[in-house]
Amino acid sequence: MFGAPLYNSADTLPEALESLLSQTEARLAVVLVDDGSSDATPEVAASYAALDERITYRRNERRLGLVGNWRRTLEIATELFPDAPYFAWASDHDVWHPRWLATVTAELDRSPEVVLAFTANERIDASGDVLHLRHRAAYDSRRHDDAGRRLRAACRELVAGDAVYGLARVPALRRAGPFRHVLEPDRLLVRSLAVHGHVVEVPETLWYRRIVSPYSRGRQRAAFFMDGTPLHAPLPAPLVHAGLFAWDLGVRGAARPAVPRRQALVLAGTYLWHATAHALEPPPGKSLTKRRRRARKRVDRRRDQLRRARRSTAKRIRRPVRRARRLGGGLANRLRAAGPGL
Amino acid sequence: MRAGPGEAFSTSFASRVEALREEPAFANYLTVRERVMEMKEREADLADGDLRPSDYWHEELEGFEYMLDASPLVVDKLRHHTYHLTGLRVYEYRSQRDKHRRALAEKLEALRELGEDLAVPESPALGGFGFEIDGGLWNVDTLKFLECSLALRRGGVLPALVERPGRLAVWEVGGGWGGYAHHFKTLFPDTTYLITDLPEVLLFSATYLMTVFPDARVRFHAPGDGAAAFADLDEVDFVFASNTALAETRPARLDLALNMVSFQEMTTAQVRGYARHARELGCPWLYSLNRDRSHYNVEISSVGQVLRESYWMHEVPMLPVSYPQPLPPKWRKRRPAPAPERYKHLVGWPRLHP
Repeated sequence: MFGAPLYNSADTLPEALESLLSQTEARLAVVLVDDGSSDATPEVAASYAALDERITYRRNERRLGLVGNWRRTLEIATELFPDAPYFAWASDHDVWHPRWLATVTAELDRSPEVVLAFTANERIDASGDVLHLRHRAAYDSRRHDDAGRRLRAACRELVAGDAVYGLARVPALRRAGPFRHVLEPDRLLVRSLAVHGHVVEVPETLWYRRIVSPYSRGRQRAAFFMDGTPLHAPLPAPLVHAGLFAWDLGVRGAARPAVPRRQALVLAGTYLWHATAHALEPPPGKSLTKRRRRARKRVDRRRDQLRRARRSTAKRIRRPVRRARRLGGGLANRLRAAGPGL
Repeated sequence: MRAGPGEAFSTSFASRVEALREEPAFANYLTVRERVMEMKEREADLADGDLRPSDYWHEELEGFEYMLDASPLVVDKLRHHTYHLTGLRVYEYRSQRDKHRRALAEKLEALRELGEDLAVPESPALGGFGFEIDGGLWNVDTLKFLECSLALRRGGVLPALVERPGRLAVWEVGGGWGGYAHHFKTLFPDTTYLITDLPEVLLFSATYLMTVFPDARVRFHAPGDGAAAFADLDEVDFVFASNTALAETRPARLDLALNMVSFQEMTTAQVRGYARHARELGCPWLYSLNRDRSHYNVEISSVGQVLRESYWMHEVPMLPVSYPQPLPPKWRKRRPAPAPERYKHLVGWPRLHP
């Protein structure tokens, strides 16, 4: 089943919904939960729900924010379809290839050790055209048996923004703790899932991610916390995540027996170290040396500007002094020439 | 008395022409021409403005009117005359053109890395030409066909078609000289391939395909023929239909509709009509390789936008350059940004509620 949290997406929702309804996999349910949109999103969602019985539409009584609505969507979907083994969050502006669900379902059916499967994607703009060419190896954690190594790989290599829209096993999702009230909750979720089992990316491009605006922590803060910013919000996300990790695995024992409680602190440390290292890495496609070179150029340019400014200031100061001297000198000469009688 | 050198040439030439006249290729041409003339006669009775070729195509058609009365020599070198449709000329593939050959070989290698199994070289039949690379003839067109098949695979269409049980039914709007039909039919022989085109263009595609697939079962469809040509599609390999018979082109099943480099040369109404027709026929996939608009065609707004009225179209990125261009140096390291005026591989599925 798909759960789509909606918010002000009337323009893109028809395409997103039709791509979900066009799935070749017949066993399909779509749960739409609107979080108090102010545009025509409720009308669009209601009209599709009236046309297709596979769609269930709900509207929150009050605004829950992004995190709250994601959690609410999963809650409603699992209440309505308690026997559904798999769940995927669907974005209200992305597009799924008709074979997406069949492909990832086959992957989960085939491999019981996999808890989350997603496909390669292309970044598209508003009109559906590809933004840039992306060629990278598909992520597959099955090369690591150990939970610690899987967590390390998830922190360093897994693109959480892609993986979080994958198809997950519902029990694993529950154990991992779906979408916490923290910044970058998608990272925390997919990294937690990596401890509970394997995460696999199918190399076929069957999903189109529409890029509306670039990632921003400020925007996350504004969209996530409707009831005021929590105390931990100013802290670095990896630190908060590591704390929750230690709580989940060490105190709650969420991943037992695969991960015993005593291993929790080690995993929390692994999380903190690698998530911090990942956060400090330059964005993909830009090497550190390039950035440094660019920074050096910027510094050089600034230094030249300052030097030029200093020179022109000095000139500006020196010029009247010289003129004054010249004037002064001329006057003295004239006085001298006028002789002692003056 | 001994014949002079000029006379000897005339005799051998005449005997060669006569021999070519007896070849199956010329017999195929005559069959096709007869059906094309029939299509043209019936077409004259139609007054539908939307079916009229765009101004661009009107000029193009005048350029190869001679194909309606082609000699056996022309038919024997049919591929040398397809430059009217593709712009590719034989002399561009002479052995001295090493730079062009290197560029083509590099692009072929890049495409083969993406999917060697979909590579189909040009057939040497009917004057097939290209650079000989690894024992096959390769030219810009054959690379384009390979790139299109790779895009269809990458766009999730070929895997869906392969999973589908039974014989495939593919509809190509504007089949050109039949190159992609040859490519697709070689890869997937269990396919019924329908081509809708201007009757004059069918002179190229139908003659070519009937010659390179001598055992193929072929049907023609002219306006007013009814639905007979599209009945029992499993019993036929190729159906050639006039563009003016679009309303009657109603196969019982269609698995893929495609167009390469000719939607951009049509009018908005024509492109809209084809996309709507494919959707009405329940075709689950539409593929297009076109620019949004040809530089020479002012009668269309944007191919992508028009197709999106009936299908949800999405671009499938392939190589960083459009199909006619060579790869830039060091393209693997420095991938150039997609050019706005590029040929786009678009794959789409039907809108449920257009």
